[in-house]
This record gives sequence, structure tokens and C-alpha cells, in this order.
Amino acid sequence: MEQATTQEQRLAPGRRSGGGNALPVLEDGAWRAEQRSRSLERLLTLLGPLVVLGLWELLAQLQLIDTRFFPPPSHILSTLVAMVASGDLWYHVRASLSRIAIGFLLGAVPGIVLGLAMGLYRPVRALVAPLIGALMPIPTMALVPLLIILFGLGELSKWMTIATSVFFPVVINTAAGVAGIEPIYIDVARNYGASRWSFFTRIALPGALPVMFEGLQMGQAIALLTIVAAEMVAASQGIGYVIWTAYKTFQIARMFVGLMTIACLGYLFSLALRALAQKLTPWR
Amino acid sequence: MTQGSLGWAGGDGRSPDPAPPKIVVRHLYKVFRRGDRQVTALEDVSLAIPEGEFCVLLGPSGCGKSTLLRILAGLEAPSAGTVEIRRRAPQAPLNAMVFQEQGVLPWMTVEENVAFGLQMRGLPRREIRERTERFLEKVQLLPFRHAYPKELSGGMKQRVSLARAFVTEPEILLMDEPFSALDEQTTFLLQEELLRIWSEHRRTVVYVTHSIDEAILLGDRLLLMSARPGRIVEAIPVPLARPRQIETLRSDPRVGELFVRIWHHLRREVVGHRESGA
Ligand SMILES: Nc1ncnc2c1ncn2[C@@H]1O[C@H](COP(=O)(O)OP(=O)(O)OP(=O)(O)O)[C@@H](O)[C@H]1O
Ligand SMILES: [Mg+2]
Repeated sequence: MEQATTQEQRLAPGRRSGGGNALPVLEDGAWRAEQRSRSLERLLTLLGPLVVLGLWELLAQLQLIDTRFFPPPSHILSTLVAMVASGDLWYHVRASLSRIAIGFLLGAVPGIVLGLAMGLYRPVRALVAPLIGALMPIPTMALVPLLIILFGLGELSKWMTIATSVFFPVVINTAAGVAGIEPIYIDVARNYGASRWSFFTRIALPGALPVMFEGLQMGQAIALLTIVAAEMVAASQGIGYVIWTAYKTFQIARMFVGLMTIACLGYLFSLALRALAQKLTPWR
Repeated sequence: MTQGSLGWAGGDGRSPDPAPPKIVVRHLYKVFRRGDRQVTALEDVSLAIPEGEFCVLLGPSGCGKSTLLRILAGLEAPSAGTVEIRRRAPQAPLNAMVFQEQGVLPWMTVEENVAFGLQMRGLPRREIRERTERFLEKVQLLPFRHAYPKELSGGMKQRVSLARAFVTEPEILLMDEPFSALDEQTTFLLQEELLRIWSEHRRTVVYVTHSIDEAILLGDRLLLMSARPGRIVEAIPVPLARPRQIETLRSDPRVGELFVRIWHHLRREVVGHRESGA
């Protein structure tokens, strides 16, 4: 008995971090080699974009590529700085952010609710699944005219455009998350007499959460794709509007700033969602 | 087959018990239907288990042991026949199950897992904490109370399962090969732990295994099952005094005899089943 306890105590969460310096020499060498290859990897990930940018700059400076369409990165950078300094960029980013946030909530919340209902109740799934299957393949861009007819030219139609595109991946992943819960966990809940509500909060919800978050990640990416489409029509601000008007007025550097901003937003959103997922699913 | 009379109270050769048995199963059948194919998992199973008995179900793989246990737990409905469990305290839960596979909920900490059954019964917070702590202590998991199952070894997870079942103090305990996925030494340790915790209250246990050694070590009485469709074909009392220890059991000649007797039976079932072409 004694032996087993001491062995297992080494796994104790509190004691794991403390024992780092007690590694034997041999493992230490292996660990260093691994660290070295890690930092090399990190260097390479940075190197890729830098090489592309440097090459681009060089070719543009030498007039080997058409700078009307591919202005040198230094020019894009100065445009970016100017747009940040004047508050111009923030004005548009703020507009897009609030549309994405509201649209995302309008799509994700019903998606989660309906997805849970589909996963928990077979009749709901039978009723709704074919509808979702039929509607999902329609590109949201193709729905924009219809959404404008339904919801007008104002903010509402933009929210609804984003909501529509976010809804589908969220509802499908949530339903799949619930349906994918191991039957044994359902048996455990029944065996210990869980009420419907307890089953929902203690088994179905946490069990579905990881897959549900994958849906939210997809929804987030799609929301960014959609915002450009939503802001192309009848908008006077927003990142999509910036890209679209810059393109039409041939301010290509400004357009590139818009594209870069979208890329950065996407990266930040996925980081934020991953952090949220880690906080809500600490057992993973 | 004469299984109709086997296993009933007094049918195991001991002095007749004046109290009515804790569990009575009468002419139980279970047929699974999948598409147009039918599988008879249990066929005319009858048994009676007295209060406080550690009863072991032993049989070849696929003979319906888990199915029988799930019916006792109310997780599966019988196709025919009846199950009666006599209640002692109406407020105690009827049964608690330790599952064959990993039944520990991965999104709950060790403590939350153990407290789960108590929380489902809506006991006061203080009582839940106190009882949970007591049982975490008993299975030596107190230092790991805030750990998630992914940080635990297989043996520790099964300890969580044991604690979660015992802490609810159910009328009967159902265990489905709780240690079958563990290595031999961990199994020995957990078997001793199980016996220690069980001996404190001697609740009625129905324990499924296909290890003959385990059956002899743990059981008061062994019910041997046939190959599928599962029937109870023999009840063998284990005449060994408690507390039992693995060391002393190994050198006891009666254990060897018992082992051989059970093995002969099981081999007949497994081989006979194969030769009949099923
Ligand atoms: N839900 C189900 N649907 C269809 N068939 C099932 C179902 N559950 C069990 N069976 C069948 O019933 C038979 C008995 O299964 P059971 O799990 O009770 O066996 P077991 O004795 O516990 O086996 P093992 O020792 O391998 O765990 C098997 O042939 C199995 O295929
Ligand atoms: Mg089984």
C-alpha cells in the first residue's frame, strides 16, 4: 500500500511544478536539445513572413512588380500609421467590432440553445436537422439581398448577416457535442438519480462544451469573412467598408491595411476564444 | 436445466435464513433486438441474495453479466421476469454502480465526482462535504481532491468510482469488473481496500468478474453463469473466514480445490459453447 501511495503522490498537481531542478543529467541534455529545436522552430515561423515581406519590398522598390496593385510594405506601413494616428482606423474597427459582437451573439446563442435541444431530444432533431442540412450550404453572401429585404438597410441586416453565418457551425457542433457524450456518463447520471435539470447542467452541458467551442471557433472565423460582405452594401463605416471603398477609389495601400486588420482581428478572436475555452473546460 | 431452484435462499447449502432475501430475481429474460436480429442475453435467471452477502457473478465473456447487473440497477428493463429489492431505509438510494469501463466523469474533480451521488439526492452541503471527505480519506485520495481525472492513474480513477458508490450508502452495491483494466498489483491493493471498506458496513454486493481468483478472494457465494444465453447454473459457497488476505488465501488448500472446481465448470461452458458453433 505504502509504495502505491508514494508513487501516486508524485502525480499530485501541487508538487509537479516544484521538482523541476531534480532532473537527472541525461534527461537534462535531452531537454536542452528539445528546447533548442523549439526556439529554432519559432525563428522559422517568424522568418517565413519576413522573407515574403522583404522580397515584396525589394521587388516593389526595383519596380519589378506593379506598385499600383502591390505597393511596397513600407508604404502600407506608413498608411497604417497615418490611419491609426488620425483615429480613422479605430473608427472603422469599432464599428465592425460591435457588428461582429452583436451578430455573433445573435447567431451563437440560438445556435447553442437549438443545438442542445437537438442533442437532448430526438423529436427536435428529427424536426430541425433536415432544415439545417438544406439551408447550411447556401453561402451567406448569396443571402445578403434577401436579408436586406427582410431587415432593411440599417444595422439590423448586418447583424443578421453575421448571425446567419455563425448560427450553422454552432448549432451543428453543439448538437454533435451532446450526441457524442459517452453513454456511460449518461448511465452514471441515471444511476445516481440525476434530475432533468442536473443532467443538463452537470452532464450534457460540460460534455458538449469542447465540441461546442470548436463550433464557436468556426463561427468566429466565418463572422470575419461575412463582415466584409455585410459592409459592402449600404454601409458608411467598418473595415469591410474601408476595403471596399479603398478598392473602388484605387487606394490600394489603404485596402491592404484593411485586409491586415481583418487578419489581426481573426487572430485575436481565436486567441480570446481559446482562452475562454481553457477557462470553461479546465479538465481538458 | 434445474436452475429454477438454484441460488434460492437455502439453496446454497447454508442454514436457512429466516429473513427474506435482499434481492430476489424471478425468471428473468433479456432479449436485445438489433434490426431483425435477436440476441438472448439472459434466459430464465432466478436468484436470491440475502442481506449483507458479497455475491459474485462469474461467467464467460458475453454471457450477460453486465446485462444482469444493469437490470438490477434499473438501467435496463427486463424482457420478462421480475426483480425485487427489499428496502431497509426508505431514504437511502436503492443502488450504486461501479462501472466496467471508466465511469469517472472527466469534467469533475475527484471531489466533485465523489460528491455527485450525494448532490443528486439534495443533501445539505455540510453533510456532503463531510461524507465526501471521509471517503476520500478512506481511498487515500484526499491530496488529489482538486485534481481532474486526466491527472490520475487508472487505479486512482477506480478508487474514485468506489468512493462515489460507497459514499451514498446504498441498499445494494453493484460492481461490474471494476478492476479488470488494472495491472495485477494495483488490483491486489484495490481488492484489499474494497474488502476493508466493505467490512465496515457489510452492505449487499453483487460483483461481476471473470477472474476466478478474484471471485474466491472477495465472495461469500459465487453464482456461475453459462455461456450466452446466460443462466445461473451453479451456486458455490466460499467457506473461507474473513478478514481474508491474499497471502493466506494463496497457501490455503481449499482455495486450490475451489479454483479447480470453478475452472472445470467454466471450461465446460466456454468449450461447449464454441463446439456448438455459436
Ligand atoms: N445494448 C445492447 N444491444 C444489443 N446487444 C447487447 C446490448 N448489450 C449487450 N448485448 C449483448 O448481450 C450479450 C451479453 O452482454 P453483456 O455485456 O451482458 O456480457 P458480459 O457477460 O458482461 O460480457 P463481458 O464479460 O465481456 O463484459 C452480448 O452478446 C452482447 O452483445
Ligand atoms: Mg460486462
